[in-house]
Amino acid sequence: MSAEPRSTLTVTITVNDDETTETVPARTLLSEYLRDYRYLTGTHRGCETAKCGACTVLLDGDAVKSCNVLAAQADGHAVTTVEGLAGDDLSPVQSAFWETHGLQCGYCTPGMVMSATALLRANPDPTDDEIRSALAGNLCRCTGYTKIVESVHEAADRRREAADE
Amino acid sequence: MQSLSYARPSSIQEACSLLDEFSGGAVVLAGGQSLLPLLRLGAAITDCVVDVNHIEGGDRIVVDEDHVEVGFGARHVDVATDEAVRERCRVLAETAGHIGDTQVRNRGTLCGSIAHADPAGDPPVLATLLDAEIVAASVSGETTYRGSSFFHGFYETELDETELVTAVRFPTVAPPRGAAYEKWEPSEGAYPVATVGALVELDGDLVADASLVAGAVEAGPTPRPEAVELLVGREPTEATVTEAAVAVGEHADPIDDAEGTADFKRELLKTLAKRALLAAVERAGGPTP
Repeated sequence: MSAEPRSTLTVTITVNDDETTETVPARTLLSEYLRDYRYLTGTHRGCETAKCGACTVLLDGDAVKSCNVLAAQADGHAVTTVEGLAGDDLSPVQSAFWETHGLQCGYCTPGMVMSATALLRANPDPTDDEIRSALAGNLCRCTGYTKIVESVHEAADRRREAADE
Repeated sequence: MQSLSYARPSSIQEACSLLDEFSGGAVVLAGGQSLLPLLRLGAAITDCVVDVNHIEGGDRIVVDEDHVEVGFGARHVDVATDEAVRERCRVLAETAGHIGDTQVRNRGTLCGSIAHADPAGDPPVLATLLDAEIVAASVSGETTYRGSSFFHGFYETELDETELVTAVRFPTVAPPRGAAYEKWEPSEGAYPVATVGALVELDGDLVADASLVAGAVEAGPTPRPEAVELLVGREPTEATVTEAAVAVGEHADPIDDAEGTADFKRELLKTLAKRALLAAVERAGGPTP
């Protein structure tokens, strides 16, 4: 791509191991791109002001708020959304949230799960404080967070057990 | 989101040419963590975003005995986790590690935060405190600004709209100098309501020089020379430190808003200034009062 300013762009983004090329308006947010062009509606748009974290995805493995990144900035990069975590079974983080009741209404859950996944990849055995700090950018209005923190601990145990097998 | 065009320069020269062509109608997009919310809310309007993330070498962090140089592409997480930065300029690594939340630190850049100059931003306070060198490029060449005279209130700096901050150079801090930064945020990851940076230089048992800068309570980083006067030439005892910390609060001119009353913010500043000063004195090699 040249330095010439463009109002529409052709972007090639690998989402959940699927590389696709699309032409989008330059102003398209990554969250809009994922939902409206890739039809991956697991990425939730909550506040749209980069506060709530419901739209958190992994960009080259790092947790980012997809409402605060342009699709153009993900051009040539790899994105993982909540749809990309499960294989035949739910991922350890997903199954731990499910079984530990780490959600009530579920709206924030995809973002929580993505942030927790990034945390556990970097820190397989986090403390309560480390979990709360890593999830500070994800708001939940139902649970009071206690069950979410428990779910992340449970996910850490499941990941370690899976690694030991 | 407003309509805009997007440009992806591959060199600093190309980026500067674009900023010059648009003469104020273009903005630099680095991490975008402050810029994109403003654009979405219509609080900032632009014809073109100039994405500098594809310019090679921008993400460098170079540390030597005297300086920590942070390139325009280096993200808060990179600064926070760089061992050499932590060793040579601990206050910078600590501050970067507590900016916003995880997602913000994964994308946001230190240079971008300084150029953006949000009154509640952490890096502007540190750049003022340590009198960092702020290097900016434009089509007419390179200019180096001093952090202590760079910020002029709400989102206003020495920069004009055609300049790109290419690097910020912080001095290293080692005994007999010590620095610390303290802030209060209503919830982790939120913008702070009050912050204080403290820098102390000791000469034996006495404070030879010091700097105190308050943030978030006024329109930009606010140095407090009145409080420094109470420290210089004296022993940094708890009583002296407390006196200076109280002066940081008393001389501040906050406004009442949803985050708290002016009095509440003055009290916050006093507490934060005392914590920051005590930590700075200890790091400078002084006694722990």
